Amino acid sequence: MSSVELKSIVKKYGAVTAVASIDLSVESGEFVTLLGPSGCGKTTTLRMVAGFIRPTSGTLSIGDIDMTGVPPHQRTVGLVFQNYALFPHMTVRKNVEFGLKMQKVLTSERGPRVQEALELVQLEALGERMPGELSGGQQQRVALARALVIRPDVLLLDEPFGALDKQLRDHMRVELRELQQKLKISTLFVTHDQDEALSMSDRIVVMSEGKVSQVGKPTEIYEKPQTRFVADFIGRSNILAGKVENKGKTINAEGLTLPNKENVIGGDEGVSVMIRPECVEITKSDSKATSSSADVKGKVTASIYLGSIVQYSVQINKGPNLVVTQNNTGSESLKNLAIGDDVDVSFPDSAIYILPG
Amino acid sequence: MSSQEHYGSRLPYKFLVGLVALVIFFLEAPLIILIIQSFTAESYLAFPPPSYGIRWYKEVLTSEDWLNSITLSLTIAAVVTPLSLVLGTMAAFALDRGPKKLKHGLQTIMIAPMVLPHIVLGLGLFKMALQLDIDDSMLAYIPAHLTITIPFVIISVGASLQTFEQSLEEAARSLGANRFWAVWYITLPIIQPALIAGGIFSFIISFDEFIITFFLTTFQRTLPIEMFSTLMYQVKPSIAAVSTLTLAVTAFLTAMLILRGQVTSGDKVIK
Repeated sequence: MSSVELKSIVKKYGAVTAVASIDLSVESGEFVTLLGPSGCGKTTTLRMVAGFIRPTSGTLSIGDIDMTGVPPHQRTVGLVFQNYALFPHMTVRKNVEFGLKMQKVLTSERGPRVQEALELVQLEALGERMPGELSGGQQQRVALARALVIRPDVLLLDEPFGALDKQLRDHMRVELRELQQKLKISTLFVTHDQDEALSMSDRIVVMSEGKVSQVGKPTEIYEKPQTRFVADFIGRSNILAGKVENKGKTINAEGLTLPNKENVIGGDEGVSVMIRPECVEITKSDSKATSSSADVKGKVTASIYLGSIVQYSVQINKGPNLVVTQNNTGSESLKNLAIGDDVDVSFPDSAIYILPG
Repeated sequence: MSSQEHYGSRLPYKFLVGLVALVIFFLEAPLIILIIQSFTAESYLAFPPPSYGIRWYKEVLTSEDWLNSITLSLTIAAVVTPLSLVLGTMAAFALDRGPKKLKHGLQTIMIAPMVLPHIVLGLGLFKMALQLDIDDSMLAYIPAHLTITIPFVIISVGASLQTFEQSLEEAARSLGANRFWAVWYITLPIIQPALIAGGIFSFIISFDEFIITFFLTTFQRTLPIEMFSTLMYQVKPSIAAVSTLTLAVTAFLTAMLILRGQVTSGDKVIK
């Protein structure tokens, strides 16, 4: 049974197409993330599930019931906004109780359920506070409790960590995922932050310009991107234009000769080859290290220090410019690398990924 | 001390204080003189009064003419205020949530009576009231007052709605409230200061209205009209007593407005 199912959903505003025919499902208990740059239609999609936007065409069902034209208050969805949207004139307890009151739950039953929801987010001590008296993270938790207390068919989260600082964001990420798995609640999460998407999701739906670019597990999205857009958007990547040569045995990627391990044929337009920067190893040429498998040489043209990693631009001799990242382990060879240095470049065959299509 | 330091020298600061005192004096002196005169024990107006008493307050509060006009004015204001609030708030919502293209044009039309010369408005309403045969009655006064009180509600509520976070309503709706209950439980309590301001404005304006009402009355007299017609015949201290009473009501309501503003401007303190 799927909790949420979108079939050929389209949303047009006049001549502008915000969402162009999306098919999407969230299975029971699944955590699905809509990931994409701003303006890709992810928030519009979420708002259609919540019922605030009516699709131009297509059908939308929640809990296997057609909800396409049903107003928001008749859907049982729990919604958490980026700005939390806590009611500023009500205490935390009243905020959480509001949904139960609207759904005409008996007063005697409301108290325990509010308490239960507050305990779930570890805020049972702050029930009598006003939202304005809480920190960002606490407000976030209240919003979550308020959405969960109505026992929704699906939890919808619209960039819920956008307003938090990085430390708290990382913490809430773990906390939310644990809570979601504990409650086994179907969740649709919207974000433009790939780290959030990769770390929390069962499945990621990458969106671009109102369309779905790829649906898959985080590992599939990162390691086997189906489109150039996904390869570009998720993580750092080197994407090279390649041509199959040497009777199909090798690929010439902008002057770099790579083995054609998957035996792709590649038409006239050639193939796109992706190499993740972290898969590439560089060592200083004059360090007299053992000759590496790929005898590729290059020159460092730029380096950016990012703390845990250092990112280099390496101009391959008679080849492309590659972005290379190295873990900052404090090793001497890494520290001694400077712009203009000649380097040996190597990467395993498994680092070479041919983009389909 | 800090303000003196800010100005560097004591002289300009003293000058400024003097100037402010002068302005306040010119603004308030007529009122103060009127209030003092209202407590005269004599049968004529004089400043300063030779003797003091509450004779004229007694007279006003026992005179049928004065009491009738006070009652009429209070009744009109009491009907106008809630109607003005409901209609003005509905209009403000329509302007805020309706099609953006129409907003400016509609708002101008709805607020126009506020800036239009009241004498023109009064003349137009007079002709209309005669045609409908409703002049000299509540049926004429109430709509007439509403035309000039509603714009104040539209402005105060409209301004409040502009800064209102609409996602709060959406949150309420996602929790099972339909549009009406979302507005009722969430939006209205949050914009309450604007509603109170609009209500107080409506009351004061209706209670104080003279020009338009003057066109619409024949035998009935609202308080401002009774005051005006009394003045036509004679200048008795009773007029000063009535004026002071009116002033007291208006001042009280205005003070509430200002205090309210102070309380709520430090937002999130609303309990």
